[in-house]
Amino acid sequence: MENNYVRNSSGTDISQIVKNIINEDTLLLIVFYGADVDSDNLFDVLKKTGRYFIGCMDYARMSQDNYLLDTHSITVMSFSKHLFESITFGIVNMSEDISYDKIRADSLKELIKAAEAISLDLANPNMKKEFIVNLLYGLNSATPFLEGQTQASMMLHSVGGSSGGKTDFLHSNVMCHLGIGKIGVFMAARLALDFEYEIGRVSCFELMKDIELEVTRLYGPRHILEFNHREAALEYCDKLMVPFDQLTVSVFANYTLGIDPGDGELLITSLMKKNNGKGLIAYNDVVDGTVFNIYKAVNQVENRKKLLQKINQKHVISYVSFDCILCYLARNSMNQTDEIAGLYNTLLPDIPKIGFGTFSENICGANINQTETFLSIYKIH
Amino acid sequence: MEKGIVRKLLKEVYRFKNIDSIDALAHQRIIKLQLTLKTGLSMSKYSETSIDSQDEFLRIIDVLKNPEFGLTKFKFDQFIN
Repeated sequence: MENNYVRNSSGTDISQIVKNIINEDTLLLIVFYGADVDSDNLFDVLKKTGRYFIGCMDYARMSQDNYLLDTHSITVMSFSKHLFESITFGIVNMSEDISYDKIRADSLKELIKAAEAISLDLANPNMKKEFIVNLLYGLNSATPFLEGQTQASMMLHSVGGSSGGKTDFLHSNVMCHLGIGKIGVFMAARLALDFEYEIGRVSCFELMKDIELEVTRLYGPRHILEFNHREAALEYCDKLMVPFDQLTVSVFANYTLGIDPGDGELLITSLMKKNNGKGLIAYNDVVDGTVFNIYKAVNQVENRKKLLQKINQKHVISYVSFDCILCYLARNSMNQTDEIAGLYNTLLPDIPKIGFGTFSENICGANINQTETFLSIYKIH
Repeated sequence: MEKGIVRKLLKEVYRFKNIDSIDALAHQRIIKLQLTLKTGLSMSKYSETSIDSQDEFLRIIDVLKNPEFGLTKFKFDQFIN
């Protein structure tokens, strides 16, 4: 699929993919790849193209009108130099042995440096043309990286996701033309005169009224010991009227924690498992004193349909999706994979699309779960 | 607490930051989102209803005083009392 500015291609042979989509106008490549792809070779081939690139390992990926659920394919999108007025990149070491403070400080420093490189006013960014895309190492918390960016600029829009891999959660990596490994990568961009962007999010939950779970005791950033001054798992079960011995992963997936900042936004924090008896482990870092609601999972079709219909009212030229691995798994288990893929095909026809199954998604400094965040670039003239 | 006090506070914050341009909604979205992230309190809920706890309101004020929000000369006193 291609237009004058964007092309995409998928397969298992990166050399062939690169031949398919690169021309003299190509400035940037975004690449997502399965856990069994030789990522060092992939990095070398991409490096030899001489183009900028960002990418990461994933659980599965969106390639145009399909979801690729294998571990050995690669999907790449190329972007023309005519789309951008300026573009720059930064990387931060996010290895598990690096402290939160160091990641936060490095992220702050790198964004300030990037902003200087492209004369981006961090206090007053152009919210129609300037944005950040983040691809973050998925086996460590995204929170300090995002906090560093927010410290540098609260108003600069950001969107992206954390890298994935197999569900053993043992191996993942991120790459860009500056390096590969347990890193966080960001791209700061300013679009050219004729283009604007939209970032957003969509999730498929409905509020369960009159249930509040206040975090009253934490053991660690993701380890909730108490809700409402009671053992966390017991309180969660009681509110849902689920017997404690029936508290399974599917209950966590169907009844998630969330908080609504306003205007219909929804920040989802999913629960992963029980821990230390009656404690609960979340996929995201949680702040002490947070007052969560519980949201019930609903069909993935309707909210996506509304979103895509809205997006398609503009002259869209590319759509980049950062969609939670839990959404991929839920679609698969409910035999909805083809139906959802068909929705994108029908409602964004002939528009190049790419995406990956994330180990958490981010938008405007928030790290969230069970959500699709996206970047859509459109032409205004 | 006074009904709608958080909504009133946020409206003053938007006015202080001169958010009346085409970017207004995007600015407001980020301010609400960041406040929610940092306080753990839903701005949606507290914008529309009375706030039950002085402590929770002061948490919102404390976060807004963070330099990231750019409100160093904003007069918080009129809301605290």
